[in-house]
Amino acid sequence: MQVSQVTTAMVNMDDLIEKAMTGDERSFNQLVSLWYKRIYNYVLKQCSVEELASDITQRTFISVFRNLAKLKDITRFKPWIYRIATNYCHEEGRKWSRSRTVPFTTSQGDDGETMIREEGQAEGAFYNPEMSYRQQEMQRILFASLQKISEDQRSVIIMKEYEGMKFREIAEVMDTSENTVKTWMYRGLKLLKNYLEEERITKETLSYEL
Amino acid sequence: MSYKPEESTLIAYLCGELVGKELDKVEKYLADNEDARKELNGLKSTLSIMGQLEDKEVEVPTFSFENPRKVVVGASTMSFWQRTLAIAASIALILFMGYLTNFRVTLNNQGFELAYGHQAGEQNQQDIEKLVAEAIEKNNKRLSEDIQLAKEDMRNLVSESNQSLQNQLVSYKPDHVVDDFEKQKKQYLEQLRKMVESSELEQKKYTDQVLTDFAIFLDIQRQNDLELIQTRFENFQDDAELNQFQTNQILANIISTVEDPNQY
Repeated sequence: MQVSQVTTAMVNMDDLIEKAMTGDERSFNQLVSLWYKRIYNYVLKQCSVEELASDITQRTFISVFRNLAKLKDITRFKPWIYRIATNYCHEEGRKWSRSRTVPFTTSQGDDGETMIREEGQAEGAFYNPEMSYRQQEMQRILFASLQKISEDQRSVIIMKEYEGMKFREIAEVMDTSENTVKTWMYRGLKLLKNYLEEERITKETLSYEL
Repeated sequence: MSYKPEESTLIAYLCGELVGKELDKVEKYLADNEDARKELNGLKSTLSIMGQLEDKEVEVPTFSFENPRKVVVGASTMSFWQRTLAIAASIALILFMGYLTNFRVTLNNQGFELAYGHQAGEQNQQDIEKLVAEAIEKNNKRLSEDIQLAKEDMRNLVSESNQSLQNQLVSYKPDHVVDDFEKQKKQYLEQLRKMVESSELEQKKYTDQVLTDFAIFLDIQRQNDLELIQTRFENFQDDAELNQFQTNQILANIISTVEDPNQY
């Protein structure tokens, strides 16, 4: 993308936020369409359950609408929205960790082979090619591995790796120092590395599987 | 005391957020320290593997805030009157389409039926016969038209051929025919004459040859006959001599018997 296009997009985003702050529903819905997929996938990686991710994402945007007027600096919209989503994730995570830990369900295919699907995925989404199965299995393991680390470590890694945020922004979201964020990330990565090694997933097996 | 970067520094280095002197120090440290380098490479691989986690597609709902406390997610952003009007327009459209397509909902002994278009069951035997007769008539009409066209084509073709022949005949004058005939006749006569001449010479040659051969044959035959006659004469002479000798012997015996009668 060209620099001018990025600048235009940012200006438009600022305009949208300003209009949405005044209660303009249309601008707010445009803002939603720009951010919904990002926030949903961020939340999904945090909780690994699609229904819950949808619910948290919707609650995040409702909260955004209600509190947008309180946002002092519209350039801080990004860390602000991630902070709201992260808070909801941590809140729900504590509830869910008491009731359940396995985010995926397994079921039996027609040919007796065990199929794996994410919870909330439609029944009709099942299909059985080997490659698809391997990819699904890989996705399941990666999702599961994220659940093995603490929620702070997870939040930092997701924001850094998938959302492409700077440590400074992440620190703002997490309301802590940059050094703490970096340390969380380092330790979280080490744990992920150990878990993936236990699951015999390395860069080499990854290139074979995928 | 040797330099050992903190975890936060190493992760900043890994994520490319380290600059200046700190970056140089970490690079030097990693160059000298194999274990640290291996560990950092392991973390880098882990990040790379985690990067395979894909985003999922999601349908973006519409948010409608009738008041700050009442939020409708996924519903239309239209006002009440707009919504009512839209629903009414949709119903009107459905009814209109139903009217155009002759949409029917039927519940009878045979079951529940949803249908559109012309109803097949409404046609009785006479209608079907009429339809079939119309179809046959239409087909016959089309066939006769095709035949008529074919006949017309044939007629045109024959007429064109006749015209062409007549044109050829007109362009062929009788003077030309006589001249051509005379030429042809002369050619044939010439060929016949040559053939007869050629035949006479050949015949003469052949007769000479036959006569010559016959003369040779007669000479040979005569020679053979003479040789045969000579052989016969020689045989006759031998026979005569033998008879003479036998006669002489008989006479000699008779004479000797006559001269000595006591011999018996």
